[in-house]
Amino acid sequence: MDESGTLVASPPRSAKLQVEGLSAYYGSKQVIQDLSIDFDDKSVTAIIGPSGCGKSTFIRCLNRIHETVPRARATGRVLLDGEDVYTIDPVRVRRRVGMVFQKPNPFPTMSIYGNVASGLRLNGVRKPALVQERVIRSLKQAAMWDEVKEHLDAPGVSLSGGQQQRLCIARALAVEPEVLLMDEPCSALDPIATSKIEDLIFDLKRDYAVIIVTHNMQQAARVADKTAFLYLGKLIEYGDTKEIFERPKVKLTESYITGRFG
Amino acid sequence: MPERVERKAFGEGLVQLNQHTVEMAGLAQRAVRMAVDSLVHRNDDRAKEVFLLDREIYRLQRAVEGECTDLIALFAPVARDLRTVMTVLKISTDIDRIGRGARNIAEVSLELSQVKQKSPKLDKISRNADLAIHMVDQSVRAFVEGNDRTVREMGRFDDEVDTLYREIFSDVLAGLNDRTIKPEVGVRLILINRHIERIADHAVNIANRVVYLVSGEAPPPVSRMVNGESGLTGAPGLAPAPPPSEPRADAEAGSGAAPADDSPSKAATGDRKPE
Ligand SMILES: Nc1ncnc2c1ncn2[C@@H]1O[C@H](COP(=O)(O)OP(=O)(O)O)[C@@H](O)[C@H]1O
Ligand SMILES: [Mg+2]
Repeated sequence: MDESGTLVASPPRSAKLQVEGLSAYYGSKQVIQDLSIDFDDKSVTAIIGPSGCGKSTFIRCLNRIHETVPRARATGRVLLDGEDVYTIDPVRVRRRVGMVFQKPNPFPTMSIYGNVASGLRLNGVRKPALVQERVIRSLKQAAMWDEVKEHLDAPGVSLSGGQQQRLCIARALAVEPEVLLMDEPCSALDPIATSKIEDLIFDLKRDYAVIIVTHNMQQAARVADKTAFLYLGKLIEYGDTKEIFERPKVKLTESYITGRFG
Repeated sequence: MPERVERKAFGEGLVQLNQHTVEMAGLAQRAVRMAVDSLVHRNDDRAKEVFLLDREIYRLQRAVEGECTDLIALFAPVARDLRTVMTVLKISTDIDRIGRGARNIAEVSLELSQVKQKSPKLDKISRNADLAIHMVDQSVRAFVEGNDRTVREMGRFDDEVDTLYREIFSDVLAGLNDRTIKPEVGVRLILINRHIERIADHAVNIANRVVYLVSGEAPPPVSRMVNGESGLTGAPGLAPAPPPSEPRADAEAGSGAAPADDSPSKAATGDRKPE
């Protein structure tokens, strides 16, 4: 009850992203089948499933990168804070829903500084002081400021693989997204670089909704609050990561996570 | 349906764990049986054999613990694989405790054979031990078969054991009161009674773990009595309530009811482990 005596319902824990009846196609081939799922804000969700089940395609629908592939299309709704991203300008969607790819892909001709600043310029942030402030903050958020602050002018590609991936995360964070999509961000990295990225993901969930595709079960178990299992373009099981890994409800999930099918 | 893959190395590890668990359980049942026999037939040699069995059970328990650690470290098991490893880890402790219970009974039995008194009738104790052994057998069988159906009725057996436990307690008390049982005998019978009742509790633990293994359901909560409520200190003439049905390691080691730790026969039989 509030002061006026009316009943105030506690606000339901709102989903940051709500996917409703999403289907995705390459030409006539359907690879995501009428999929619905909600993603929590300020938490990490892992998406697991065998290769080719549609994980990448699925998350690429969430920030409308999927439709940039020739003959690719998607139907259904993706609500970002309740607003369908398919009614928002795709450039704005991609600013609000950032993405990090499997292979670190810093812009090869650009310096470390230039890489992080590039997204800002694209999004109209031009004041040098503001750009600098955002670059520094993003590099700090990506836990690599101390490693690179002495040589911001060095080419981004001169960094190690793990550093390059954190640079890409910094670049994604610079435009202040609300959701961060990561597609197998550690699959090209050694265990130490992987641990650093996992620590980073742990910190990032304080501020963002993080959705990570991984084929590493243990990584999903380590970093994610919730886990979704996809198979043949369908959502088979979705729940708290602890439940999924201790007592999955669906036999198919059990077979997959125990490594009993390839 | 997806193509099936066997995880060979992990599978072999599980087979090994299963074998060791079954072996331990077999030894534990034999140990309880021999301990009670040694008591009923006043057979000291048999009592001493129990100590050997108990030591072997302990050795296997350590091996199983190491195997579980290896499987977790090497294969990071999840889902039913994880529940299997966790279950084995827990029930191997229960089986070890059953072995220790047998050892404790054998120790008391050796002490009793020093007492010059014709032994009172022990058929109720013997019957309760049979029930407890049956419960251990059922619960381990359920584990091996991965089937929780049979163990869901374990509570019924446990109630029977508890009922007999109370009867035996009252009988001994009556015998002490009318002086047909010497105090040095009666006190020891009460200890043995308690050990048997605890063995049944361990069987219930194993059964509950099997339910978890099969279904993923958490084991049911156990009501724990607070210090001082425990049965053996009950007012004279009253049969005590059985102790809480899930024994605790610390409670067991610290409890005044566990005589084994400072019993004189320990030195004679060789130290088993630090407790
Ligand atoms: N550009 C593309 N053109 C046609 N088919 C594609 C394309 N990209 C992916 N696919 C197909 O879509 C399905 C899902 O692929 P993908 O989303 O990459 O799966 P995952 O990320 O789970 O490995 C696969 O069958 C794949 O062959
Ligand atoms: Mg992919």
